[in-house]
Amino acid sequence: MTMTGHLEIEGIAKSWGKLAALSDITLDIAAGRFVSLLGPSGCGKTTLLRLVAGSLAPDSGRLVLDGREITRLPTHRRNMGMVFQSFALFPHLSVAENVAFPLRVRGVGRAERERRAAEALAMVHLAAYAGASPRQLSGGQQQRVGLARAIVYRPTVLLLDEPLSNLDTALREEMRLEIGEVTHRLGITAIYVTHDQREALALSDEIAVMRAGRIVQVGTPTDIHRRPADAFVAGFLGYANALPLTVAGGVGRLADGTVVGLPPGAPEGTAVAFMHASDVVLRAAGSDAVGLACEVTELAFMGERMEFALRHVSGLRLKAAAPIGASVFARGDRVTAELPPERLVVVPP
Amino acid sequence: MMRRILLAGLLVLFGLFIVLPLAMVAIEGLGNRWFGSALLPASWTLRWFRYAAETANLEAVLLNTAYIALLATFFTLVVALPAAWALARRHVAFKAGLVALVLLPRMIPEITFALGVARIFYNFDLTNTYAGIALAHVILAAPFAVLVLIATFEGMDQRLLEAGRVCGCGPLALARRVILPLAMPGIIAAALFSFLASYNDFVLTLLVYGPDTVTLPVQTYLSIGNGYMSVAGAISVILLAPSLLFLLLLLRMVRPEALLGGMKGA
Amino acid sequence: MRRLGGGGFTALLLLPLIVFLALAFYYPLGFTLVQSLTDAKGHATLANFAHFLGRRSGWATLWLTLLLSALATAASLLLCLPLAFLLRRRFAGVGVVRFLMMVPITIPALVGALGLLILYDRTGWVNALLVRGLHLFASPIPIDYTRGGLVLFYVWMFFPYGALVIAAALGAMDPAVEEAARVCGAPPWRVLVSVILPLLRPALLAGSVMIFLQCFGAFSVPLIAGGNWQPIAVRIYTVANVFLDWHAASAMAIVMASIQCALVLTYQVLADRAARRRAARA
Repeated sequence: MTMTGHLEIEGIAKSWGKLAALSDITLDIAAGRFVSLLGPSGCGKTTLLRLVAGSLAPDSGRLVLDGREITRLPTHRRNMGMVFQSFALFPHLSVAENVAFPLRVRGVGRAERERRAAEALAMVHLAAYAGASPRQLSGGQQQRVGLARAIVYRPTVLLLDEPLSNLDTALREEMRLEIGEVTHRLGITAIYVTHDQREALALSDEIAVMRAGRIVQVGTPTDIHRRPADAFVAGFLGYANALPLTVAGGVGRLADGTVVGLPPGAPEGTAVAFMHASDVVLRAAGSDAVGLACEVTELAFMGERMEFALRHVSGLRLKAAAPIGASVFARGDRVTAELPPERLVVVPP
Repeated sequence: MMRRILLAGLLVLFGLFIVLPLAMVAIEGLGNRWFGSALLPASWTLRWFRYAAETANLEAVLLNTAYIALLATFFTLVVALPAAWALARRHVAFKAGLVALVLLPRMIPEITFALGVARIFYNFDLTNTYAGIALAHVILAAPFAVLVLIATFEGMDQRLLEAGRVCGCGPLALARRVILPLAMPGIIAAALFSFLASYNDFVLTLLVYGPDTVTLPVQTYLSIGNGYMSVAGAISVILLAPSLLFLLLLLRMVRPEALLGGMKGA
Repeated sequence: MRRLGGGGFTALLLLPLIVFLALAFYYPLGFTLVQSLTDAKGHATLANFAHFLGRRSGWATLWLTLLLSALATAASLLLCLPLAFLLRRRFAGVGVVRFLMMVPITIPALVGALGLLILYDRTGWVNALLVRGLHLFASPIPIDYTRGGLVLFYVWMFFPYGALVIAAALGAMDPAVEEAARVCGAPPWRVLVSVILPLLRPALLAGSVMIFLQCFGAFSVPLIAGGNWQPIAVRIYTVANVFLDWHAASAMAIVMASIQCALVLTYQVLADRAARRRAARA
């Protein structure tokens, strides 16, 4: 079987009146890859997905699927599958009829239809609910029906529009695993829209971070996580600490002149250094550690770890986290916060 | 692009379908010597308004109509407000049955009960009186007013009332400072509708009016009957303006879907 | 909410409305019923009903009323459906369309009837367009005072009732459901037939009933634009006011109200049953 589902997005632009929703989006999605479009609400990620689905037409640019241009092809002839944030099940059809619907419109015979619908339902562990009405199912079950309906006809590309955001926190994890499992098993190309960096990091082969209608960084989850391209991406990926710096000759200084050790290759001029809370190492003040002299202003017990809120003498606020038992500090204690240079991500502001 | 042109064309057709009859009324009322197959009158004139004022006593008719509509609005609110509050927020036995009984006047054709109303009003000397005609209009307005007000009161957040009480409001202060402001849009919608129902009514009025209580719709009908189409047109122009203004107000106040079961009949 | 004297206070709140409706509506309605069952001397009789239903003219009146209502309802739906789809789109003039749609049921019925009468007259603009503009006919075609004309006028006057219901239902529908159908591979006609129309069925039924009932009770339009075609509402008025036969008119009114109540009840039963079926699907 040759792999299908190679989608090329070439210079797509779309605007609503004077408001540019997407500008010059170019993205090459190889067959079988799981790609996330990650960004805050309003960044254009859902618009891009709907353009790919054919529900919207771009103002300019091309969509090419397996070498064939589909920019103007109507939705129903694109052979894509889609999972919706609102589930979008047909309320007048039973669960099995919902899943069989794409086969019915493709003229698949009744017996074949029922067999394949049952197979798809089994894949999402809902075989027992075939005859039920969607209304009788929980949110998590409804979304699994949505997933079964989207894959039953083996679409070329699977589109997922924030499929977890209408689910309870407890169900999200379970559904996320289900999506990962099903897509890997089918080896299908998937485009996953989300504003939740954890979902994107956990599921994707590749992530495209979007902001204000543009793609600001494309890379593997590791790339994006370790080397965010700019302050926006770093902030969006949940870095707890952001230190404004001036870099001169490879040496970084805070506003009050405190020197911060930087990894090699940091950009010169004004910059921001990001660091995860768990990468900050706390030592008692007065030890010979090198770092920022801080005071513990607040602490919180978070189960497996402690979180500390710190204030540097310059007034800068930091966050640190340490496993329980690693270090014991109290409110008001003076500490030195070590910032291991190799863990610092320095980007232009 | 083709689709846009087609869509625009259909919209224009729809607009013409709706607007042209009203334009005809206006032309009839404002035109001079509009005969035969001429598309437009030979000239424009206000003489039909003058003529209506002289022959049909237009000023009195206008005042009658406004006075009756205001009275009907007042009566409607008096009976509908307390009842809607009880139905929406208090325990009422046989509530569904009661609501059905309140709504029945809107479920059966106006002419069917207008006959009885006319006879009874005649027996009690209520025909040809402002209060009598206004009361007849309340039959039409009350069911819808009750519906709108029930929805308004039911939609009120119980916690806001609790908060009012916690803040020290007695029943009267609560009604004045919390309930009334919250319910105002619904009350205004109910009042506007009641006014419009009375102002527009033709069937009931036709059966209970008298020489001193001719309203605009009745006068329009009488003018048509007498063959004075242009006078009827002139009066219709006067009738149209407030209706369209009310429609604008109503559309601002409530979603059109909420007006279902309302407006006028026949 | 059981405060302030409980049941007694509740009764007090309800009293004005109940007393008013009892005196101004139910008493006259009962009076009409009694009238329909008595003769001029006050003796009990079924003659009024026999007189109306026992003659061809009576049945002809009923048949005309139902026929006009049914045709106008069907024609209105053809206007309501595309309009409802249009109102769902976002375009510059949508507020204007919404306003226009409400005009016929907001203005006095009589004014609308007068306008229709002038517009579709033999010398009116429509005939001018058909004859002189498009040369479709050699001489003006009669529209006023015909049954076809009445159907057209009913559509103008009553389609908004259906359009409101259908537009509301369509607006409440999750657009993602249609998108899902398209992505699943359904061409536009299939989306309409297999997804949208089944979901709209309750609204289509409700809208049809609304329109039908309005047509059934129509008075102003047939009164001035119906000519010799008198549906039952006009007939009742004529019998009462011209022939001054209140007993006969009352009997006709009772027949008319009964038919309407039967229609409403049938609709209720059908709608409830459909709702139960949807709820019980397991």
